[in-house]
Amino acid sequence: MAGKLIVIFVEGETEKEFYNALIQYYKAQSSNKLREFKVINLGGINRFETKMALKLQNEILVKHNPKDVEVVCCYDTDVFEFAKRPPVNWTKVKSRVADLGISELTQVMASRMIEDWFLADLPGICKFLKIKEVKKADGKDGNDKMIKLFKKGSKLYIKGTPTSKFIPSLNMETIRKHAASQLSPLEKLLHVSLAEKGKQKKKK
Amino acid sequence: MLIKRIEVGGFANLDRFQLELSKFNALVALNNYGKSNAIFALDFAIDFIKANTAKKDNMMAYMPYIPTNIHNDKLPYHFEIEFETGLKKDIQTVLYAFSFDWIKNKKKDGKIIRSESLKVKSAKEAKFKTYILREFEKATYLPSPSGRCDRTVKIKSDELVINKLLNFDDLFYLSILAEINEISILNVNTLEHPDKLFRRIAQDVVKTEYSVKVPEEFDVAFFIYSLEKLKSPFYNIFRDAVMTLLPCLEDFEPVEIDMKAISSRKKVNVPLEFPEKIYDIQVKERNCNQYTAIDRLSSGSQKLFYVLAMAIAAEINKVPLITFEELENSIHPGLLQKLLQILSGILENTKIMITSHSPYLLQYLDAEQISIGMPNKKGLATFRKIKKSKLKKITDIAQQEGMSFGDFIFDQMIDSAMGESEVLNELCD
Repeated sequence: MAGKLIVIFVEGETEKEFYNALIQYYKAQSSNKLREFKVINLGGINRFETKMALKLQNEILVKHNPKDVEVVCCYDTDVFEFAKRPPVNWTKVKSRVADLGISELTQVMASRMIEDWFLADLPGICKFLKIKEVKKADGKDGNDKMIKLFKKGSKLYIKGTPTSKFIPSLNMETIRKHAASQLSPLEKLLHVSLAEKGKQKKKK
Repeated sequence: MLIKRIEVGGFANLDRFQLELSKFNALVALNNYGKSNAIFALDFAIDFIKANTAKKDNMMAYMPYIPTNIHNDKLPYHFEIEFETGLKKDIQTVLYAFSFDWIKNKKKDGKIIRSESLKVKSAKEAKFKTYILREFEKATYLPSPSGRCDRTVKIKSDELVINKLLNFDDLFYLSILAEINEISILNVNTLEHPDKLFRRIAQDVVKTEYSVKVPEEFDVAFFIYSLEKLKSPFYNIFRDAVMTLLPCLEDFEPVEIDMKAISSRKKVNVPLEFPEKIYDIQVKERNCNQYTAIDRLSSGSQKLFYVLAMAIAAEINKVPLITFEELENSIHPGLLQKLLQILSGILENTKIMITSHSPYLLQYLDAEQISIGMPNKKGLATFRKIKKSKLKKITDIAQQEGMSFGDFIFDQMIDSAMGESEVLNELCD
């Protein structure tokens, strides 16, 4: 059996790409060594609850003891226009995770959408799109704002779908600061320590 | 033109079909429950408005659409549309309706336009003002903004007043009449075999320049080629959409082959040399050692090019409504969510109506966007919406059972059709 593992479930390819990039940023900046993790995309046609249980059972628990596994579910607090209906039943998610013998489940909720985090780095998005920098994005929600910005750059923003080179063009430090309180449970779990790293740098 | 509401009746197996249009609208039903007929009925109305009197005569005798159910076989065809027009500061709401009698055994009773009306209301007004009123061959219209709808206009039994008044150059609402006369709905038939779409020489109309007007199916490659030449921002969006939905592609390129330019024959001096150009798409698939013609792609992939091109055409040409018959056809379920997002992203000014048999597709829609087709006690197809008060109940049941919203709705439709359950009936308006 392999050692301890943090399994991070996300709802789309963009989210997977984002969390991987964020954790790479943590790795580069943190004074602590990060714990082992795996980001798994639960996008697709099946129900989140069902797909998560299947992934844990067939891909994770065959290699890890349930006691060594901690689960993190990352999701938006708001549903976007074409989200799956009905929304995820979190009580059911918790109970299915518990049924598998995994006692730790942490929720990382992007308020209101992960796109609101991306929009914290508006200059980065505009630079990627090669459009004139704007101070404020228009739209009814984060997703809509991204759609409208992308259209200005003659591109399509499709939630959950990676737009090549978009995530790497974001400034993770800016986004991390913007979403600090929402990301803090994840950072604790991964043993991220950014402030100490800063101090270390000063010492040098 | 922003269409707000449509209503049709007295058509094939449809009971009166009324729909308040949101940005995205889905008609779902089991087979033979009126989905396609609802779209045909709208198409028919638009064609009827644009047809000359000879064609109108034929349309009023068009057998496939004449109702034969004993509960609607005496009903006239009826069409009503409500739309907004004008600029932000001066938006007007327009209500236009007409009805006609289908052909009858007694010649004098059928093939006649029964009624027609045009009513307009500005944002400042509380009530609609009547601009046109017609009963059979007796018709009146409003001649001036301060007048009344009492000026008589001579009209034939197979002629619409809005067609005739288009010739009255001084009418203050000529632009509204023109809008109704030019109204268009783009019906994208995803059931069409892709062999008809690419690698063709369009021979009906001579094309001397590129065009991004809404294309006929066989002209879709010409449209894509023109798009690249004339509207590069739209072409980039089209390209982005294709590459997102078809990750198997590394690249693609619309191409034009001038058959005459590559011929060894000498050029002849004639008033018009017929252009013989073939338009096609060259695609580069991942792991393929060369670019190939698009027909090497699967029919589903070719159809995606077509669907996306038509969506772009609708947006460029400000078509107020685009319909997609069985949007999910030939598209794997994993792509549907992306496709819905893409269509919604492309079509900013155009409303979308789809028909669907797919629970996978339904799970991405809001219940308020869905109209469920079901036969009533008379055997006529009706479209009903889920009651707002029942939405939570449905969500709870689906969550408890681990079902998607789409699975739940289709399950109930099947049970209802087999007479096994009245649940759907209770859930709908």
